[in-house]
Amino acid sequence: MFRPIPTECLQEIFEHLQDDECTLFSILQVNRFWCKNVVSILWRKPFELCSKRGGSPKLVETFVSCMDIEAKTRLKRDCKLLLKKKLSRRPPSFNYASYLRKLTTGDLWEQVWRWVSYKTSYDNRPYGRNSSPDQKMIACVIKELGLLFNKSCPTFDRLIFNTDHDELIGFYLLCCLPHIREFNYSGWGNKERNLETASRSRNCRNIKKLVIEKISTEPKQIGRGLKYGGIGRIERSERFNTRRHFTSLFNDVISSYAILIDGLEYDPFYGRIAPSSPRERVDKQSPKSERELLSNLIKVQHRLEHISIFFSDLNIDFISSLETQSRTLSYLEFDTIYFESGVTLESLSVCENLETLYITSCTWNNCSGNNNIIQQQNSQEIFKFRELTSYNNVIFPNLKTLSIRGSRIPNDDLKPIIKGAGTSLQSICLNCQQDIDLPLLDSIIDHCTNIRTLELFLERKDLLECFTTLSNSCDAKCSLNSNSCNLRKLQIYGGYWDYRGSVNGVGYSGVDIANAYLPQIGRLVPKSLRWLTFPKCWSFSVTAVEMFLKNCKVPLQLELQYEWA
Amino acid sequence: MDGYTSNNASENETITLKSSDGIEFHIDTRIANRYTLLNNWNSGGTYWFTAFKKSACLPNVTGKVLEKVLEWCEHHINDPLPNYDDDDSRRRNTVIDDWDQNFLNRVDQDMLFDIILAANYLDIKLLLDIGCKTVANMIKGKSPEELRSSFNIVNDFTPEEEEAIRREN
Repeated sequence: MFRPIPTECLQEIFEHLQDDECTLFSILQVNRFWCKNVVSILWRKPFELCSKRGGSPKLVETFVSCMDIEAKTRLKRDCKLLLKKKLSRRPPSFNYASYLRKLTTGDLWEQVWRWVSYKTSYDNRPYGRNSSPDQKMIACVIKELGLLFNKSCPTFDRLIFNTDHDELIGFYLLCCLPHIREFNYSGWGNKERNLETASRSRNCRNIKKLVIEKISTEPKQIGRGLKYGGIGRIERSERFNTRRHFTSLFNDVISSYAILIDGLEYDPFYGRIAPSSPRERVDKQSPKSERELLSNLIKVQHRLEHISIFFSDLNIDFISSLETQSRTLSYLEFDTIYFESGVTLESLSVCENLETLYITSCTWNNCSGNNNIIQQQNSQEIFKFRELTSYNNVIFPNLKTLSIRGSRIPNDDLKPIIKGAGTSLQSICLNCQQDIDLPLLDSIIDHCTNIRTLELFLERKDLLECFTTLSNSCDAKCSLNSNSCNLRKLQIYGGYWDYRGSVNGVGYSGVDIANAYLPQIGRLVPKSLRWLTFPKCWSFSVTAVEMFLKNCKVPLQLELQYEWA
Repeated sequence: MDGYTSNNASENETITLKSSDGIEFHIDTRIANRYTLLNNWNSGGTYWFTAFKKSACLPNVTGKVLEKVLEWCEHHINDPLPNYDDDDSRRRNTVIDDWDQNFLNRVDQDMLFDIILAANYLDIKLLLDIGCKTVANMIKGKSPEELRSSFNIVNDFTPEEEEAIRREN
């Protein structure tokens, strides 16, 4: 038998079990003190935990029990079917709503749907997928939950949109929730209304982290067709039907509730709250694309630190909006982005305090196509830094992590970044092309003395040159006794091993290269290196690997493929 | 400049920590520099340090516990400092390595709890995390009855309260 756990550390211990709902539920039932200490952890992200275990109507039931009499009365008024089942008047053991910190719209919709299905079923039998509860009722419940969270949860910070029903849910959440710190918007649904609501809502002025994908470049409301990252399109008729259905449902619900939202000066969709019909006001609104609306949302932020954008087309106007956050923005990620004409890497230098930059699978205007030569020529024109050195600009002086993957950017454009960031750079991941990555190695070694992680693309013929350069650099640093070599992790990417081919006119097979180079590389491994990974598609002979291990005097975690033959 | 106030202290420089039962430990200043609270003492900014000059008294930590805490600190003196964005990611990423596992397996439960309390008091986050994670592993997967029995806890819920908790959760 143990002595009781010190009460000072009980919550700290429970925090280590935050993802283990079963154990948290056991802890809840141990005694009053344990219960009090664990309840805030268990109800931090209840919708997510509940969805993980398959969902239950109990969750929303408990939240409804936390509502005040007025809210319950409104719920009964607007969801008449719910009257068939009595709403509990008993106060709950805790104000569970006050612990909410994270909400995902998909989970919220699912749990409310389950509860409404449960309450409207005649005999309280478990809900079934075949039943289809009234959408208006679901909207009413979500609205009341939004008001409850608005009143009760001071620690709320993460809102994640990820469902087809985002348009309807979004209005209530964006207007009602307390200050939102993380705003994450995924999915193919229409984001226009919610982005506009967010940019007008006072609750969304202090977002720290913004993650968004699939932003259209043209307004959807007028059905001109859509463009997501240059690939997606939705037909006019399809969109129109969805819009009409939504507008009808939305107007029914919103008209009687907008006024309840404390401090809201206007209906975020239709302008100032007024008794006129919402349908009339909709027509007066000039349509804007999701890209413009996202740009507006960024501009109204006070201290945005992190932006990740996926599957979208971005233009120079959008990139300019980042300048409004230049003081605080430290993390910028672009994945599968098509940059329109005029956008260059230099354009991003408005983010002067950037610490992390990820560019993955991005293309620039006129850079698509398979012809590498044309691609390179165009990209060099587009990305050319305009007399950078003469302006004495230092791009990203605080950059710590730079990752360029699957995006062909000429090394002339990357060199100023590497030089500008200099000693602050600790991690560089390049996976562009051999003619880009290897020539950058000298720049990296010259300027980035604190580099700890390096990932780059190499042709097998350049393996020896790469390690010779690294080894010379480390030896020089050690002999100067000023900046010791810090490189800890080296990961090499490369093309498939060509047994039959020749490189630069020298005819030798892949196996010969391995036998010739790998043992020498063992002697050249920098002393600071602890992890070394070769491409999985390169296979070395056992003899070469044995020689490498014999020559290598560095304690190394090595990943490579080898074969007996 | 006093050696113990220097940030560039060499390995030979030491400061003295005195436990609540009067046992003195001479520790490398690098250990003091590494951990916030010890570091504050080392900078001469607190009552205890200024009162005792080159020694700091720790009224909440016994000699036996302080010895274990310092053993852990000395072992990890050259580890890179982990850099997590927030407390949540820090706790989620707590990995108990083999040495730490052995270190905590060698102590009894009372000592484990005392080490956690000392780590909390001295603000040694990594030791606090591995201590808490070890206890969390003891709790993991147990039923309420098993937890009460394991940690000597009396169930003080009324039947009504117990029913309400089950109904609401």
